[in-house]
Amino acid sequence: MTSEALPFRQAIRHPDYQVRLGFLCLTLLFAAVCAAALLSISLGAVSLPINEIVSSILGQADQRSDLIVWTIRLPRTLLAGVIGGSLGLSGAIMQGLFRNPLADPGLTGVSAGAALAAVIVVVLGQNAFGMQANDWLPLASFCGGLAVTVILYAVATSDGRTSVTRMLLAGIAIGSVAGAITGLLIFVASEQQLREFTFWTLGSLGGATWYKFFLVGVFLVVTVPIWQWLARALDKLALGETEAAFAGLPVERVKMLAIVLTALLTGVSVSVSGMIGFVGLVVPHVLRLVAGPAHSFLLPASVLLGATLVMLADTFSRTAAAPAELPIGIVTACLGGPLFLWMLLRDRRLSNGLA
Amino acid sequence: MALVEIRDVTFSRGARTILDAISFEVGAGELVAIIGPNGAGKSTLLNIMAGALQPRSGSVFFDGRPLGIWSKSDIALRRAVLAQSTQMAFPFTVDETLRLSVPDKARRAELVTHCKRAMAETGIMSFGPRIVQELSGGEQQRVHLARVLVQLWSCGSSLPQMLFLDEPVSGLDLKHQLSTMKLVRSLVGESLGAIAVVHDMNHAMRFATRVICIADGAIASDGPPESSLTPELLENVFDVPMTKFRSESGAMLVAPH
Amino acid sequence: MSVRSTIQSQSFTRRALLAFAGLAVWPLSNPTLAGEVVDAAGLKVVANAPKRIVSIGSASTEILVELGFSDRIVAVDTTSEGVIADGHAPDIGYMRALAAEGILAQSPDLIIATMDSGPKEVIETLRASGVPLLQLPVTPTIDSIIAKINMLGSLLDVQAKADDLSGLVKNQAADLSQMAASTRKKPKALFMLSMSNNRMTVGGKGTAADAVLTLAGATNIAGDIEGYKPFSPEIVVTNPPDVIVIMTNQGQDAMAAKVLKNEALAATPAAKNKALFPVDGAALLSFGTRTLHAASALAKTIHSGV
Repeated sequence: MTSEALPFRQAIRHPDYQVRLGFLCLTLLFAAVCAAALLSISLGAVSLPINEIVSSILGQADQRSDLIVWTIRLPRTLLAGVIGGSLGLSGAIMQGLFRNPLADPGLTGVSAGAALAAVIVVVLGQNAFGMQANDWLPLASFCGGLAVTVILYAVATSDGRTSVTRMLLAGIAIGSVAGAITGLLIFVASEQQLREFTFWTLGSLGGATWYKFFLVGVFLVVTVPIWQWLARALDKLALGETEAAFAGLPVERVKMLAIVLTALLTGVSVSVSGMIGFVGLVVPHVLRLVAGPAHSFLLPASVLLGATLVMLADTFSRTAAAPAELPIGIVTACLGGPLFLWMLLRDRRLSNGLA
Repeated sequence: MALVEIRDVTFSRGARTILDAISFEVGAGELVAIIGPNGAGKSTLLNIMAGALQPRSGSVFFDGRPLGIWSKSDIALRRAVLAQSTQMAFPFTVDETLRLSVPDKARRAELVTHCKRAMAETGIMSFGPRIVQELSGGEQQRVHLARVLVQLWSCGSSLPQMLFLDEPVSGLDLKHQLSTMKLVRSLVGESLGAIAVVHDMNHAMRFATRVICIADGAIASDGPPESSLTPELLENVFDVPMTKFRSESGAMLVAPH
Repeated sequence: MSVRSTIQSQSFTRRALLAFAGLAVWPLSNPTLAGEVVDAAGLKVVANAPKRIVSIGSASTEILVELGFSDRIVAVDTTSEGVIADGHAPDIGYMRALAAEGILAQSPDLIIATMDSGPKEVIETLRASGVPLLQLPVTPTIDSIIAKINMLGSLLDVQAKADDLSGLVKNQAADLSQMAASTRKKPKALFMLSMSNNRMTVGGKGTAADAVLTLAGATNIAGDIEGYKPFSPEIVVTNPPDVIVIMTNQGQDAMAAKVLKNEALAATPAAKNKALFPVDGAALLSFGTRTLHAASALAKTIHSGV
């Protein structure tokens, strides 16, 4: 132990400080979540002064403020938080599973399946104004994502062993098939249905309700008890599947669990708010650059950072073009795309993963 | 009692038979070196014994029980495997890597002691905060050796354990080749046995307690190094004329003519 | 003698029976109160001298302007562009991707939206806010235009103006159908929504475009397909249109050029006679008050050419 202070990036990897610094960082991230939430609740097309918001929360304000705060902003902020958390967590798990820092929850085919199911529902299952279709959309796209994930897993697994490479390739194949079927259905669709589907793919939290928040939130909260176990498992998996097995890890079970978890988390989010990209890719990646790859920090941190990012992106999408709204998928793509390119350029070692 | 036993193990890839009805056993206190020409099936044999590959026929036993019965976590308390090369997916530090193979129930304070000891023995004391991916091949190999040692030591098991090593010194410089082989030899004892696939016959000669030579899918010889590694055997197996001699310092060596 | 005293003068039993009968009939006779309108979603809506109206959907904006409420419109959606002078009212976004807060930020006391506005959750939130929300029907028929006018007329208490306006609409419709009936031959028409990459999207059965072509007295050669669809150019060869209607918001010269470049289209009588008619798509298809103006103009030019 030297007497000079270690730079943060080294300190957080040092066995003596790792745990304490990890907790400190998580606390800071939690504070960031709270700050982003406060920002999200206070800003919007209607300008509400802070004291109005506070009295609304305390149940003492007038009806209009109550409506804005309780029916529009609160569920939306909370939904943004749990969706961001789910996407961030999925991304971290996916990258650990594929042992590749460039993996993204979309790789398991969840997005393709969810999109296909959404198009099916919108085009084939609607009445004159698409209202009935909207009720079915969340459930259908969730089932679609899960179905594709199951198919991919089955295709890539033989003799009880899942080949991650085969899964990736099968994902590309199934993505193409799903895309083709989607294209066919789009052809059959009406102008109105087409627009609906387009907006759905761009992602939006505009239809946020308390029900949607609970739905996504429940799925996220249910995973909490296994975070630590999963974190250690993913750490071991980084050695390689064979070595991890030698170290005592039930590799196949871990892979299946990881796949199911990411399908659930991503599927529920996509079904509720459409496709919001880049969060699962960028969040764990940035955290890894700052604090190292240890999953016991990475998993909870990805939840917190993901929540913060999506809440901020949503706030931006609601205020930048007020009174109209930008689709949030565009905001995350505009932020995430260049960030991703920058990450690739900065560290060319990353390309080892896919080669 | 033998810790590892294989009976009539046959392995083939497609039409080619790589191993044909191989049987032997290894116990604690032995350092068994497996040598043979390229493609003889040395690594395959090691992987079968470690449980990573399924033989076409025959059975493998660990501590008297068939491998299939052992749960992954239980067997990880008793045996550790060092593969030929380990590619880590993420930039873990040496400190973090050493702890990766440790069973979940290992105790914290003891872990620190084991890690320090492993690092000292493999000569990587100053490597703690360094990123494994940034080390040289040989240095990475030493890190992983330290890792598997930590795995075995932190099990808290008093039952005998087995170490499987696949070419543990291939990428190392001469100094570390010798120190690693010496280390493994010194660790082997009442509660530890080791099976190592090696390329350098002189390592086998000098450090192993027993040498098994594999050629053409069968065991060409099995015995103490000095007596079983004869020039005739080696010439047959490796197709290179060899001589065997004693060096000035008294070590027995073999070398090509 | 008042009704009350009449009932009071009867025996108790009869009164009870009458009351009972009244109760039974009451739901059937629940009248709409003055100024209360049942909208296209089947809900009752009342407005109270609204001064800040948010209008969603071109039809709604057009009718409001015609009824004299343009200075009370505080915000419109993107499809209403062109109905109200630029900059007069902020744009609250595309009608199918609305933001509840953005609309409420305008402090509206009345919201008029067409039935196809959405998303559904936003419409529900707007209803829950207590601001009166009237939804207009979207079927592409003359009756629907009249219904919209009547709904808005009753709601905004301008029955007289509304009646005038619907009278005007009915006359225009009558003139149109007369014109259509009087021509000897019904010209064949094609409504081209867009053309990109030499692929055309046309209006088929059930679309507002189809309804307009029929009103203008033409036959839609794309009448076999449903909705706005990509169209195989072969059809124009076997069933060549005499008239092609193109949308001006695509840039009419550019569109015309594209049409003439397409070999199959260039061979049609429409192309040969340069019978390519530009129309303001939004005006034509909204099924508000502009539709019939545009349809009449189209009919005149179609039939003068034939």
